[in-house]
Amino acid sequence: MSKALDLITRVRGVRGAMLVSAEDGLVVAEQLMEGIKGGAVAALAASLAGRLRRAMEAAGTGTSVF
Amino acid sequence: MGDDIRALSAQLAQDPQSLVFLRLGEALRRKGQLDAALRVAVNGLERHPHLADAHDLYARILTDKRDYERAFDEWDMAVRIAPHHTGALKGLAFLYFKVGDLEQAEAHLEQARKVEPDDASIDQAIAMMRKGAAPPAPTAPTAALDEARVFAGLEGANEGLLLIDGAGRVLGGALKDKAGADVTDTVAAYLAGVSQEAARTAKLVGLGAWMGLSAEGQHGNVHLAHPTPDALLLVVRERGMPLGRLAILAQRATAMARRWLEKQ
Repeated sequence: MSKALDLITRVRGVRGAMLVSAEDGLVVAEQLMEGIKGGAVAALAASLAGRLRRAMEAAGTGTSVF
Repeated sequence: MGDDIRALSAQLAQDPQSLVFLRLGEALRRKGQLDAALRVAVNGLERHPHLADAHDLYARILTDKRDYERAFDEWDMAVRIAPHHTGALKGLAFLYFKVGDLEQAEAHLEQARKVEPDDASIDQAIAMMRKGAAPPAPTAPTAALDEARVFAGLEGANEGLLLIDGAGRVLGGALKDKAGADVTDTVAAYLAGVSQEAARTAKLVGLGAWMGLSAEGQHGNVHLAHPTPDALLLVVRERGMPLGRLAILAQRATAMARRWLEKQ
């Protein structure tokens, strides 16, 4: 998993990457810049993605695939 | 008109916090059901005491009931809340004319003309007043009353654009699913608080203020933007529309929503 994140962060302009559990917002793997609070970002990102997914399903666009 | 009133009443009963009371009150007023219109306006004002349009509606009904003194107070309040509210400015001009204060009447119409220089009805009212005829009694600013008109003229205004406030209340636009069912309120409820979460996430990762968020779905794409810090705009389009084009459409809708919100 860390290899996959490593590949992503090698792309120019990408500042960091993390894999988060959609269910509980916990960090599965991360490769972030120093000083970024991974746990807080993960919780917020999971909540954000969950709301958006439910809204998209209700709107008929199907599950978000990003 | 009867069907309209029934439909609007049903909508209001379903969501008493909705701004649909503005349209219902105006529809009842136009039909001459002034007591019913008054009840709707008063109930709406209790829920939205700082909404200039609600005071404007109440003033119009009071004017129809020839209660000019209270109508003046309501339009005065509307202008205090929203100094550029042309409906209220025209209303005050009408009442000043009624009491023979032509100077104040013209001053208020001139003020309204500064806000809406393209509104021919203001020029007409000034011309009529100068000839000694009463300017027409103010009517509802239909564009402001119809929640779907926030995005008037924009592609998919009634089925693929949604403007909500921070609490998930629908401010404008509408959404329909593939089967044509209205899903506006459901989607709005899911998106309550998203703007704040996006702002905090962007701040935590050092991206600064968030501008927009795009997502691809299996059958369609969406773009989120925020015309004001509290409001959230959702644009939904079919899968075939590239995300870049969707973002441009969202930018146009955001500008329209911002202008509309500033007028409220």
